[in-house]
Amino acid sequence: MRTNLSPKLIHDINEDTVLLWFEKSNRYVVTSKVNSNLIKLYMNPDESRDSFVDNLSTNFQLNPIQANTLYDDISGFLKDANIEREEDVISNKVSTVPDSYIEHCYKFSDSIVCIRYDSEILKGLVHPQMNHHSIENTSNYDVLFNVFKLNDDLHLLKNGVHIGSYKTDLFHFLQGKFALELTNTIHKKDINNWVATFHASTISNGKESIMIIGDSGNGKSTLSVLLMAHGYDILCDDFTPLYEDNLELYRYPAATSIKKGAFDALKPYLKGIDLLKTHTNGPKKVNIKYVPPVISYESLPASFECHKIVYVKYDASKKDHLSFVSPEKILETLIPDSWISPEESHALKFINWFKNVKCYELNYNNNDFAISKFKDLFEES
Amino acid sequence: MKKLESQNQITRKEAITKMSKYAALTAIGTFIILNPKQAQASSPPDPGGNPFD
Repeated sequence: MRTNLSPKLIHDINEDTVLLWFEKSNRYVVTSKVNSNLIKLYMNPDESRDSFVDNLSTNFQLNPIQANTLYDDISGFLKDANIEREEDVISNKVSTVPDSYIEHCYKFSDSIVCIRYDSEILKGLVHPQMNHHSIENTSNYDVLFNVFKLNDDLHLLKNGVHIGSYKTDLFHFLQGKFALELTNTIHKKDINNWVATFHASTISNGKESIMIIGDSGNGKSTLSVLLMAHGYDILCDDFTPLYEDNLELYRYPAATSIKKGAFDALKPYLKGIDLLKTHTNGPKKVNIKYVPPVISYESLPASFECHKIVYVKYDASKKDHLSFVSPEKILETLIPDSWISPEESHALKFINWFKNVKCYELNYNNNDFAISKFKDLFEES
Repeated sequence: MKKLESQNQITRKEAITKMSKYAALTAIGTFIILNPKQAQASSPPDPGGNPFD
């Protein structure tokens, strides 16, 4: 019984921190070495409640009440940690597509992708980010996507095959599914071999990449555009996919979305920002501009290694600083905001990849400070 | 769960603090339970930002 509840993976992240992974629920737990050892002790099939309590009384100087409470906590936690979660997404399969649609074709190197949207609203969820890849419509495409709404469900089909359905208020899952399918198509990968898609922006210097994470509104995209204006390459905005073969992050070719509040701040660095169309009716409730990459997609590498993650926060009330942070600080933001494949081999690859990542926190309100710190981070490699 | 959190404006840190169910374990050291998303997603919309409403 106990061994059924055991975490499938237990890995040290550093000397004090351990990451546990539960297969049944695809759930992660970041904990201290001591807690991890207590859980291991509990899992020992030879250990009874009495011997566990004795052991803790002897080795940790805990009284029997405290040791029993700990035993109950571990017991309850292990049961809870294995409870499977309710599905976020729905799967009402459909195979017929609407007769009328708005068609757009997009070119990514040698791949041509056609998308048929059944309304301007659905087009507004995808097209503005891809507009810089638009070409004249052609019947000579490699992949066809249909995106449409039936009743209160949104549906996504690829080459006539249903690949996802979502309630309208969960349309960001449709965007995410489309983003992964598009990434997979243009990089000619196997859809089953993606380890994770992180809610992060990723910047490259042409040799390696640095992932930028942070809560919504922390300024990830604004910082990315600032860095692009200083010669760096935006590998991904908002959606960063990790592939299993080489554990590299792959380019997601969307334009970077910038909220109204950052328009003025970027003006000195990004000539032409005024000329970009302002989108007023998107899901962000604020005006948005989509900033396309400066360099053409065709001339940029498809993927880069990543060994650094920076938690970014734009905060005018605090002093500018860049410092190391604990892995739990990064995981606390990264995991709940990201999809990580539930396959054991992928969970293991994610953990092993993360072990080699250095974790930083950047607080800034001075743009030049942020840019100089990223320059330092790239140079110290 | 996510929906409830955003409706009630509970931040992730507050949510973690509320998970004091395993008080004895959390008293000993770091103890954070993290659930990845169950499907790929882009940025969630701002509250009230559903364009289909």
